[in-house]
Amino acid sequence: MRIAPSLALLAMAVACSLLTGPAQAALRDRVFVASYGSDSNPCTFGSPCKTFQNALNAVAPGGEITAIDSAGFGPVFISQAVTITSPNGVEAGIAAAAGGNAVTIQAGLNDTVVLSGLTLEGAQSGTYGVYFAQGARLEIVNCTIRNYTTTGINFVPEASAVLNVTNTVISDNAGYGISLNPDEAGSSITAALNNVTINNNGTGVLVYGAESPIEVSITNSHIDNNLSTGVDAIGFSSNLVSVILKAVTLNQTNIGISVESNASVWLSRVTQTSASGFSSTGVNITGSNNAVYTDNTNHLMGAIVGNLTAWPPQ
Amino acid sequence: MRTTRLFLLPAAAVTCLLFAAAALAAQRERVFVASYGSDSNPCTFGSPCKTFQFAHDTVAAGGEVTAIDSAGFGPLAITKAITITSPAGIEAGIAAPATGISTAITINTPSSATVVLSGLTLEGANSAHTGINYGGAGNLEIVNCVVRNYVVDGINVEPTSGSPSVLISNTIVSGGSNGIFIFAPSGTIQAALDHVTIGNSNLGLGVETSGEAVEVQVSDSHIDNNGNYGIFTSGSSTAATVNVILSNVTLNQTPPGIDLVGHTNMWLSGVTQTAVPAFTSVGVNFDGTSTANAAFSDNTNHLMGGVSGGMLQAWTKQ
Repeated sequence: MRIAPSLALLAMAVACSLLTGPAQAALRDRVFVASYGSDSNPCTFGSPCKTFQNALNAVAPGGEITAIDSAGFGPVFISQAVTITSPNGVEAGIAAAAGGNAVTIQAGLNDTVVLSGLTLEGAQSGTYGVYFAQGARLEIVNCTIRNYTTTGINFVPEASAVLNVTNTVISDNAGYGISLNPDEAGSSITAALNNVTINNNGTGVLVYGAESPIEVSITNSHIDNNLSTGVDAIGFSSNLVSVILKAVTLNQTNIGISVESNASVWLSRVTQTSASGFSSTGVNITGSNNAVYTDNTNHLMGAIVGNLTAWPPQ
Repeated sequence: MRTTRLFLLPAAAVTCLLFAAAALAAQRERVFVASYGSDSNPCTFGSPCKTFQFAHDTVAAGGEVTAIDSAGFGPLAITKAITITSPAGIEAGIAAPATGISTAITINTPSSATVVLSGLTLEGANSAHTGINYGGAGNLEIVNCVVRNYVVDGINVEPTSGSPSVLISNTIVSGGSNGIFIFAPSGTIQAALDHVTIGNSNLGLGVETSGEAVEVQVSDSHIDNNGNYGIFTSGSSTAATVNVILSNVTLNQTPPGIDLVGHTNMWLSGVTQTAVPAFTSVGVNFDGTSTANAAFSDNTNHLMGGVSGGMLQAWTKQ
């Protein structure tokens, strides 16, 4: 009787993990999605995939996902370093499911995630545009993030992280345009926002250091027409919040800048508007262990509640 | 006896995705127009429509219309919340009809509806009347657009009711009798204009009200080389005051740079208005016999054409 030789189980790359791609596919450094793509494709330029999520499963850590043409490519959960980009001329969008996020990031502690040229549309039913829970660095460039019910960019890292937002429009989010809110002790945030338009949100930028310190600089930006507060800075105990505003407009908001305990704000060339028939509070300082510094180049047309401190230039 | 073993065949793809691969579930509607489209199509990316109007009528409220390639997509009347977008590099033109008053985009929306116009290049060919005529009550956002060569108005903001907020950002307007005109016949308007370039119009930016007070902030903008007015303002009463805050604005070569007709408060910071021999113009003109004009300066401006008919008041910095 002949016994069939034992057969080694053919190894399957069981792609039940978030990091590996489809079975037997080597991860590529550069993958593509397109409106005509299919998620059974290898995500090459010639055979692109249909969703960002599937492209993510096919791309190597640190690789790049590029949208070939204009379409919606679906919500995405990112757990590795990656760049997702939509070049000029292409509108790559993500429409979040009701109550969902467009982009959720839970990456490695050393991972950088870059989102470039994307349009994230919440349709007043998605909760968060970008939800960043872990990673070393998030760069958002040339994006539009709009119409989320809670927050456009929710930066809530569980370990120290850096946020860079450039040339981006964040508007019509019912809660917050950008929320900086470290999730745990030891998860300090450093953020730089440049040439950002934050328009018609509930609160433009929330800087809330309940668990860890935060330092954010906002430059050449327009935090306009937000409904309740333009910039809201709140620290806690030794978790100091520091906000530097330079060349920023704060048009027509109930409170331009709100500063609570353990928070300091530095103002240079800030214009906060209030006109007859449009009264607003320019700066509202409450609590203790806080200060608002000015170098005398600002226009705070609304009322100033509290005292400003001199910030001499060198 | 032959023993057979069950072969575990390699799976083609045993992929576990956290989200359904078919990303179409519960997505907001997204429709497309293209030069090769047809208005008997469903307006999908694969079968786009031919006109903005048909796409507008097809898409859900709050949805998005995207232009796939460069073409003329016809005049558009917007009556609901919507985003109309043309990615950079694509020119979505709207050709003027042969006769009649022609407007490229007409907006008449309820106060709950926000309209977003993004990345559009509207070409009036010096025959169409108006580029964007906003007559609604909801918020308006015009971002990364070019509106040029319309005979009457490039962008006319004239809400019928409510108190909309208006954002015009990174936009170029040129040509026409008025570049951007903001007028409140009733109600209020609050507007933020940043990185706006207005040139080669007869009147660059006009702000008027006969309803309630309006407030317009213009920052990092260039209102240059316009024919007769850089900025023209006119309120109608103490309750209907025009308020304009200028931060970092150039007013090149326009006579006058700023014309205050009545019931206007204007604040100037970082404004450069030019006038040199053979190119004389007035910087700030307190026009006519109207009273209740006030202009404030924080001493960071250059009004090379000077001030006529009134005086600047101090605008202290903090």
